[in-house]
Amino acid sequence: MPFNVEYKLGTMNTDTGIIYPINKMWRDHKKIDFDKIERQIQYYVSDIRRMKHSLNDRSLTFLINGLIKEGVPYFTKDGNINFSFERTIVKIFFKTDDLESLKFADVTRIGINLVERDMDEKERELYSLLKSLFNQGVEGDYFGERGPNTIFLNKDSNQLNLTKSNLDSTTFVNIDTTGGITSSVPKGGKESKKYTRTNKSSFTAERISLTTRRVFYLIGHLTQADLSLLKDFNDIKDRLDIVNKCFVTRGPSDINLYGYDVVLRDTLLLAPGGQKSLAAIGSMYRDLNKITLSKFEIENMDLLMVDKPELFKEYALRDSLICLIHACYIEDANFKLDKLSIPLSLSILGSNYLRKSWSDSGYSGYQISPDYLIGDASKTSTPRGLFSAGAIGLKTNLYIANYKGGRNESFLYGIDRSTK
Amino acid sequence: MYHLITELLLKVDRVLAAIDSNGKDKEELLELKSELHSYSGKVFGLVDISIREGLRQRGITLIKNVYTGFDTEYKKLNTKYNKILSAQ
Repeated sequence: MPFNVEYKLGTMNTDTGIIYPINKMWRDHKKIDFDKIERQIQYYVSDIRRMKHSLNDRSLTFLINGLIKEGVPYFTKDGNINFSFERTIVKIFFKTDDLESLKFADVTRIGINLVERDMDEKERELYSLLKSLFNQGVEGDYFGERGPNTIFLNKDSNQLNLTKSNLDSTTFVNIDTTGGITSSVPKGGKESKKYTRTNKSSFTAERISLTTRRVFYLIGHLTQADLSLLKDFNDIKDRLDIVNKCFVTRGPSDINLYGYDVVLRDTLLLAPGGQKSLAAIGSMYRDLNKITLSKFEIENMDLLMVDKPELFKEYALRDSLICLIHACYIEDANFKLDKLSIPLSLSILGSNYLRKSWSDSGYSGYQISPDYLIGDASKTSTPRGLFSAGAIGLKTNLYIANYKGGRNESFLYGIDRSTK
Repeated sequence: MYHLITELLLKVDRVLAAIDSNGKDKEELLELKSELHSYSGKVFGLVDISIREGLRQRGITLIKNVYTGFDTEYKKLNTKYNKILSAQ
């Protein structure tokens, strides 16, 4: 949900679309008063918004304030406040017949069909919650005389249990074995759009634009083994990326099925060093240990399936459940670092952790200018580069000239504050 | 430059708001109102994209995620092929 933020001048890297704040060197340049320009533009923006969108902004403020008050986990970033809601119950699906014709699209369809009804129910509950929060806001139960653009972020609300993992919720690991799936195509069909935009007036007095985006995460362990067994593997493999021998998708997904962006993740990349096996990942969670089989049973799974079908099924389902729960746990950890989605690897999670720690401590990173990076002497050692990089730019050449080689690697998955 | 354009947009929108609150039923103002609406749209298009972002009517984005843990069991037939036994 968007909220109003103060207008700040910035520079944009046109390759990446990332916006950086105005360089301090430029800001200190006395010939241009950037602060004054920002204040003036902010005045115009606020005035125009007040005339044209005050009711829309008021409705959004009621909803945001209400959700914060309700204790829904959130983080704010780039003028948006991102809320995270409870996941639906885990559903299982186990298939032993007609596997030679199983396709990637079938796996997606089955996954969507399993949870679509629950998700629709959750969506209705969400709209109902938003409606009641809006009504409470209108009645002024706890918003009182606050202006329409005020965000209610008092200390009590900030004490939301952001560190509480959704995994603590008992519903998370409840497994519904009764709900069968249908072979029907999910709503909208195979080629449906990945975005839908509607104007909703069901939970606010004003019509609010609602954009829905759908993402389908397929999570496996050693995905190269599982995906290569699918019938249409040859057709989809060109759209997959390989990282450390695992099939994944990087960046915006190229695969869209049934209106969902399909994102592929491998728990091997999300496991700590030395604990890469599925058994090691499962042992990190309560009641989720991988089921132990003898060497003979592992080498002769076809015999196990015939002799001990229940054990075979339990063993098989546990493996997929470990993948699912570990990936969700990692996503929760990523959310606490102000990031959405399941990261590709643990290294990315480590990088997010470091950046969040820097951000929390007020450190904006060591690069002074996005256009003139320290380390890129060919750009920094130019008149414009030296002006942007300041004293560091002047000293970098001396440092490079005296650097005779070496290699240092470090990986940060956490900060140990206890070791002195 | 963008500063001036934004100021112009503000003035146009103020006139429109004044017409809406005081004389929206007056026929002689209808044409002016229509012209100003069109003018406001044109000026809006000239404003820098970063300022336009602040002026947009914004809504909610709902991201619906489906998470699927996927695994297969198979029997190794030879060095090249496996036989799939189950998918879950």
